[in-house]
Amino acid sequence: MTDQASRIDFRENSRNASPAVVKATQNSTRTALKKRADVVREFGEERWQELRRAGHEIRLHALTHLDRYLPMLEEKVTAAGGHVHWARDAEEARKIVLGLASQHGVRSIVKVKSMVSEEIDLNPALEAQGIRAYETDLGEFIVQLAGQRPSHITAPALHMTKEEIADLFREKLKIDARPIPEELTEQARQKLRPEFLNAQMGISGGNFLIAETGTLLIVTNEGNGRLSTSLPPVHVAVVGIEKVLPDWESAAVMLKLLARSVSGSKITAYNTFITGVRQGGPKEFHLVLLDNGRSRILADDVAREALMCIRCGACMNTCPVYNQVGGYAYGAVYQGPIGSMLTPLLLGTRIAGGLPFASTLCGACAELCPVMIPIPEILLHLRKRFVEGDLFEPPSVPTSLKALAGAGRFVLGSPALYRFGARLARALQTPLRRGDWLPSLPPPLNRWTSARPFPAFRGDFRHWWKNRPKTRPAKEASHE
Amino acid sequence: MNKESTAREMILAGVRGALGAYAGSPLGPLPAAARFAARKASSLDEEMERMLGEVERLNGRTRRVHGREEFAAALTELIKEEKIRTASFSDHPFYRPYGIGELLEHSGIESVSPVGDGRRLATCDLGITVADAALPETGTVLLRTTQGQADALSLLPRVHLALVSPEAFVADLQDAFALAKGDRHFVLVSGCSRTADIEKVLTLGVHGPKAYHLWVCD
Repeated sequence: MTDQASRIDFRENSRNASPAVVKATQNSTRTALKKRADVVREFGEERWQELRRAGHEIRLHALTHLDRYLPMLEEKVTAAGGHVHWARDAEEARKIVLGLASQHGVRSIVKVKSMVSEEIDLNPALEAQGIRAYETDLGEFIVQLAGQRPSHITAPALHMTKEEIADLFREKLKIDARPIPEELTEQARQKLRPEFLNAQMGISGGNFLIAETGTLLIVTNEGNGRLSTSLPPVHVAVVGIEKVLPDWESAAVMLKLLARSVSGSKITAYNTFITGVRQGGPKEFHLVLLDNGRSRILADDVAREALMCIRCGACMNTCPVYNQVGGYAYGAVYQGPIGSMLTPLLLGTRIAGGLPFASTLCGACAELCPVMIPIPEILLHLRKRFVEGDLFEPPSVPTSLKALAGAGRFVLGSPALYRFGARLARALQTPLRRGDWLPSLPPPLNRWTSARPFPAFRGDFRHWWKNRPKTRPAKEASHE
Repeated sequence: MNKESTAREMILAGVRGALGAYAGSPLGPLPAAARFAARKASSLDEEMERMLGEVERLNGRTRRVHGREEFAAALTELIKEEKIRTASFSDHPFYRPYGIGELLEHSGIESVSPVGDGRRLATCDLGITVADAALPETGTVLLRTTQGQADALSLLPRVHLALVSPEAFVADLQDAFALAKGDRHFVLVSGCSRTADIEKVLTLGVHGPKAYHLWVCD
């Protein structure tokens, strides 16, 4: 994601979203949301809100004391026999991992699904060194086979149908695959079992880091997280510096929030707690702490709260925009509302400044967010940055658009010009009008009509208001 | 200073700079609102029933077993039902009164050592573990990783049987963590390995066990 130099065009990307992807996305998010609502009801709405508040306070506390908790974490991990590495950016992180791989003569690696690994583009770097990196989460395994990127942070292959996956298995694994989820899962298991046993290195991300004891917490349902971090002789975890939690009591709160928000489970099947090295486990444990723009986000006291994110994906599931366009429209690793915040923050406004506009600001995301990130507020903040610039970045809005907005403000600010404009629009629309709609408009207005028709200008409100019947009884009118 | 320690200093300096006035502020206790009251346990009997109910909801099979006789009968049943030929079990002291080694031998089951690189365990039919803590709210067992109870024991065999004693019951996660947070490694296990990555269809047994049994033994 760091190598991405060109501007992300959400509009263009969303136009290319296939209806099948959108439908698969909607089916999947609907199920996740329904299960989430059920499990929250069972927990008790009031208690749930209290739990969210606790999650918010914990994450805020951890971030505002990050300068304390990071060295504490480092000290504890080192004391438990682990090694801590620091990476300022994606390139440094890749170098550290590649260095460890070459030091141990690694030829094959099993990987646990990790957003940070996607963020630093680790797999292509490993492949370039001739190292086979197997994604072991089923969904991630599927998108890796297909040569794609995940389209959802917790359900990477959500955009694919079982038929497409069976085709993919037939083509890439050269096996007879049928579009039956149970069978496809079994085939992936058969393919990956030997890889777990043969790999010389396991690479994971981390859901949380507990500073109190230097513990890495990995949450998986499939068991791949456990296999990858206990069978190979070397375990490398690449984790963002923002993932730190103060203590175990905080970890208990976060686990309760996470599983319920991801998929409506009370708990994820497997939670693994790793502190340094242990007898019978990997001989070496390396923790790579990645900054990659996070400390810069921390300096922004509005956007800072985006770092509280625990990657549950609930904001994506509930987002009406995400549900219409699918994950790929966001053109980056993180998608939906969280992506609209993180991508411009990590890659800069010049590349991703358009994403905060890919939102209706309806606030559904903020209502579900387990750590109460004020998402619409941060999106507005980033829109302002795009248009006006701030301490962090200069404005990125094109001059033409700025001129147009200025002209618009002038016209709408003057009653005479406004009336003239309204009359002009009614006259000009005549050749384009089809009934109550304007199906297509000339450029640059066709950017609107390429996706949906524009309602025709049908009347004159002022005219109607002046001539409206005035005989209605007052009582009835008050109900209007 | 080597390159990595420079990166460390620069990242920490960046963090301190970002925090501005907050930087270096002492680590007081977390605010009261950051704490969440732990769940209170009901009677042990209710807790046990709840535990079994939750595990069933997670597609696990459960039973309550009283005494050695019942245990032996239950094990024979399980061996038949799941077509077990090889088994591995931890060296937890909990087993001793049940004489599990003899029981397996008696049924003609080959015992596999839980220690090693996992290759033997990967083809083993049954892994038997003992829960160090049981959490009824979520149907979860806490398994502390020791030499005799390797992580792979509850993961690589086709079937996982977790045994829970009444003493293992705790009310909430906080209590379980208080027990194991000093460990180098432990896991929380809730049901068997699962995925819904293909069209949200729940599928059991991805990389871990395909079947999960939990018995409360008293």
